Amino acid sequence: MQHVWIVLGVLFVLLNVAAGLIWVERRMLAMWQDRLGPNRAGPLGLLIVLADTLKLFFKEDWIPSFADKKIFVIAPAIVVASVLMSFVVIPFAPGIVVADLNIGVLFFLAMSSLGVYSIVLGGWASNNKYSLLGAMRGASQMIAYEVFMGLSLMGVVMMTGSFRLTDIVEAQRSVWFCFTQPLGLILFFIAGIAETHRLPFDIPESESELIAGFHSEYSGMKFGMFFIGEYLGVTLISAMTVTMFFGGWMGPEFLPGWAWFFIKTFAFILFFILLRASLPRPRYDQLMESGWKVLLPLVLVNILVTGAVLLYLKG
Amino acid sequence: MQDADDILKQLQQRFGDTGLQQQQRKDDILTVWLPKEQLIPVTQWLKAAVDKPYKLLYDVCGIDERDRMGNGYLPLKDFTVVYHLFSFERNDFICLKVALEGEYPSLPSITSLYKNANWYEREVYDMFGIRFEGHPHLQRILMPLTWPGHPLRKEHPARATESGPFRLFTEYEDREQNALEFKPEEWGMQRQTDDADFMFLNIGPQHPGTHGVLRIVLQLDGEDIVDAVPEIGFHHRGAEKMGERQSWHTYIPYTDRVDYLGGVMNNLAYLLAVEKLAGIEVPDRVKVIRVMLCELFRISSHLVWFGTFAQDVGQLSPVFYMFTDREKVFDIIEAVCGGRMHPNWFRIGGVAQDLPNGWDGLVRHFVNYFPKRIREYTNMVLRNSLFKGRTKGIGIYTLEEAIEWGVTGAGLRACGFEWDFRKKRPYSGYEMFDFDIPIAQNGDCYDRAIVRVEEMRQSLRIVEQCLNNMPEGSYKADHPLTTPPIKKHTMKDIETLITHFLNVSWGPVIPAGEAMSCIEATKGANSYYLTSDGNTSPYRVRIRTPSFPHMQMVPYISKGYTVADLLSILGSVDFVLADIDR
Amino acid sequence: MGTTQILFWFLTALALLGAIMVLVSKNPVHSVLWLIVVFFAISGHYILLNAQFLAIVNLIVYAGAIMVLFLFVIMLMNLNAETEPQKSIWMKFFGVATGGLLLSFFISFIVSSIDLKNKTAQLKEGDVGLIKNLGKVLFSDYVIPFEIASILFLSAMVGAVVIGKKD
Repeated sequence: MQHVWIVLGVLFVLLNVAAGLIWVERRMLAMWQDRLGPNRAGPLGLLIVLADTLKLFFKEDWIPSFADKKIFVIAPAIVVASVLMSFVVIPFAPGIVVADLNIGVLFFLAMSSLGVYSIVLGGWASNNKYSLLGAMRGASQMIAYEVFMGLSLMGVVMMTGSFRLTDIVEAQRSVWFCFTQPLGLILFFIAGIAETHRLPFDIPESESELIAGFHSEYSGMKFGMFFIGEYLGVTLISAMTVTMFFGGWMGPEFLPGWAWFFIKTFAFILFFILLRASLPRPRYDQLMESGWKVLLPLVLVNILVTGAVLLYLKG
Repeated sequence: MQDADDILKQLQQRFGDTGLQQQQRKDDILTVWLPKEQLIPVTQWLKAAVDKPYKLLYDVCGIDERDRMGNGYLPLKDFTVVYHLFSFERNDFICLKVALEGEYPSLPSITSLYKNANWYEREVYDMFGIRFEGHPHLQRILMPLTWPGHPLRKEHPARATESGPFRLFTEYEDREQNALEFKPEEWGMQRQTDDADFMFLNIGPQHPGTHGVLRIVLQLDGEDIVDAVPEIGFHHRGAEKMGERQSWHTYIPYTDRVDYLGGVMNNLAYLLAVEKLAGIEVPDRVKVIRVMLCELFRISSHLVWFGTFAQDVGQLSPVFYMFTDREKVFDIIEAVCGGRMHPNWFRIGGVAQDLPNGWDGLVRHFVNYFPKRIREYTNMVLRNSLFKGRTKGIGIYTLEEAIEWGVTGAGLRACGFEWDFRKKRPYSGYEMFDFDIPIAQNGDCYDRAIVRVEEMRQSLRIVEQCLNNMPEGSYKADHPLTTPPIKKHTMKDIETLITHFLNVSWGPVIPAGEAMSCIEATKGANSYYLTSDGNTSPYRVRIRTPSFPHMQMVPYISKGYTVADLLSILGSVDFVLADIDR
Repeated sequence: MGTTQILFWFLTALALLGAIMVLVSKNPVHSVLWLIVVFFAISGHYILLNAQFLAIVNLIVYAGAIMVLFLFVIMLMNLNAETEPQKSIWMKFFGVATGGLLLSFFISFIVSSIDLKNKTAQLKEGDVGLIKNLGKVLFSDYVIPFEIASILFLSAMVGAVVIGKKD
């Protein structure tokens, strides 16, 4: 029975966090851009979350006549489903984890790699040229960055000797991996931004070139799914960064574990928003080039060095 | 003038003086009438053979002469096509005119000589129905393809009420619908080659990256641009046609809307031409006030460009900071003029009112405040490596290409050519000010950006000099054609009262003649070429705007780049759609 | 029938349905999607065999990467049902004949093999598929095939780069 409560609790918290990010992001962006942001609906404009959700629900849910209808409908669901599935393996606090798989890290990678389908299929099924261009960019970007996203985590896995995320958190009891694996952290985070296709790597959308890229044709709640999927993705990458590199639920005793986890995750979410407020977007080919020619070799070097050091320490 | 007489003599020696006839103008630009057979040889000679050649085709326009009064000594026929060429070495214009006879006359095209003649000739065809033989793609450019008639001909109605009620008949609707269908061949593009099918992408007319209603049809091979064809005219309001029905005075507010980011700078370009025609010499105070406001508008226009350019390459925040600072400029403009984007504040022979009390405090505050902000923006945008990666080496053109395509303004200076009309052909008292011409060497998007940012600093210098050295005196010229005359004089003598009454009710009667102004506007060289036949309204208003040739060049500099680069290029060219279409 | 068996039959049915739909679908993108369903079903089977690593790698590599590339290529080629060339009746006949022969060969082979019962994989037991064991086996008993395979991949990569460099 406790298990069911954990599942429901995690789902409830995640969906609320994702919705609440609508408000957080707009207020934070506004703060950094010398504006006010949404401040009319409710105290501090908090009800904008409700208003936005209602708006999305009541908007005409239009399926273009020229679209491939089935795929057009499935595509937005994939991103939400795959990201939510990833949260299954994340330990929020000791004992609060939906499924503590012994292949946790791999499971996360597998699920996040499925997210690309929603972009590719959504863009393709819209039967719109802007969407198609966005889908192509999305596909190649996410495949490229998936490769070294997985590899960037291998240093941590080697140091822990386990793919299980609770083991990884436990292994950080003395020192967090952000100190022993700084390169892995940076590379993972860059890959994470690319996976969630947020600015500066929002190349599948790139508003000023491709209108809205792969989701140009989406409206109503189907657009809302992409929207929520993006925020869930941001939360996921933040949570994974915390789990892998910042000691998960660990922290001084005066706060419970889940609170530490939440605080740390939130800091990274804010960092995501800060990046969006400050950086311009590279060109698609520049992004690919830096991915394959700079980041991938760096990741391999990181693995090599970590392995060598581990061997040296052992014997 | 020595130079001008010289070139006239050489022309007459070479081409015989039978066909060539000189015309006197109010603005000292050498104007020569040619028979149409001589057009090609003469332009060819002027562009290539003569020493200190006329490399820049500055403007081409037509005039419908059929209603023109007086001027019997000119070789006028039914239509005139006017070419303005410019020589940077001579720092001088030459104007060639070709008189044409007949209802729908034709003359040879000079597209083979000047690349930017293409769109100019299309515009003349669109507006007058004059055909250019040998033009590669003579098609309407500003008006819809289905438009009946040619708007700038005198028989074409200037008001909607003159043309009868509008009815949408079925066949008319069908014709319009069919005209909307996209056929690449009509745009001069092919659908496929042997090994590739091309994708056609409409950028616009509604697109976040085009800064207005501009449509660019892209021929794509993957994401690489094979060809790009801009379609303009969505913003065409017939500003030139309106000039022919407005009085000299009431036309001023229309000029505000041509380059809507330039505000009063448009007034200045128009008024300089009017004042040349009227022979008004404005007092120093007017000159300095005008310069100060123009430079403030230059700063505000460049701020808009800077913010939107950063946004085009994906940086979300700068545009908010820059619009906030633009508001600070507008605070000053508002205090002085009462308006913001379209203050309509300059008048024939002066400005609308004297500067308000406390203007200096506002301006001084801004002059002290702004330099720090420019530094911050330079760090935030120009020194960002991602921004550099998006703009360096993109959209390059050389100096020769720039001149060939009629590029002026910051785009020209970014090629390493130190040319600013404020310095080289000073107007409105710019010779009194101390400022530099910023240049850059590579002619790419990044260099155009740094030139503009540096221009803001120089503009601020000029504003500061205006602030410290504002001369005393009247804010209007003491001339009978100054419109409206200063009211308090009217109470003293009947002559001024009558002039005031007439100037306000009919509008001033500007003596017959022709004059062209040329100013360094925010985007490049802006000119008003006015023809008066001694009436209360202009006979012909020709507006030469910088954005028009710049937009014409965009396909040339964007071929081979990607869609993302096109947005950088569009952003760096800095056009205003109203400035292209008028 | 326990849960495991229900799962087994469900996954089997799903895999077969997916495989048939891959062939039947007119639209190549739909085929790719059905193929992904097949991969998911097969990954489910791996999990039933307690080979979690294989299951998840199957998803990462096949569903997550290779099929995306498939989609990518299909989108680039712009295949439509109309442009697909109609195969002649002879082609169809030979296709059915060869496919049927292959199927009957497999069936006869499976039926005739005597040891079949003893070689059935054990559900939920066995630990060969766990990461640790798999790694040990790969890097001790099968290290030479493993390294040869990696060299094969390397040469394929070099080949791809050489082909890609041409223009």
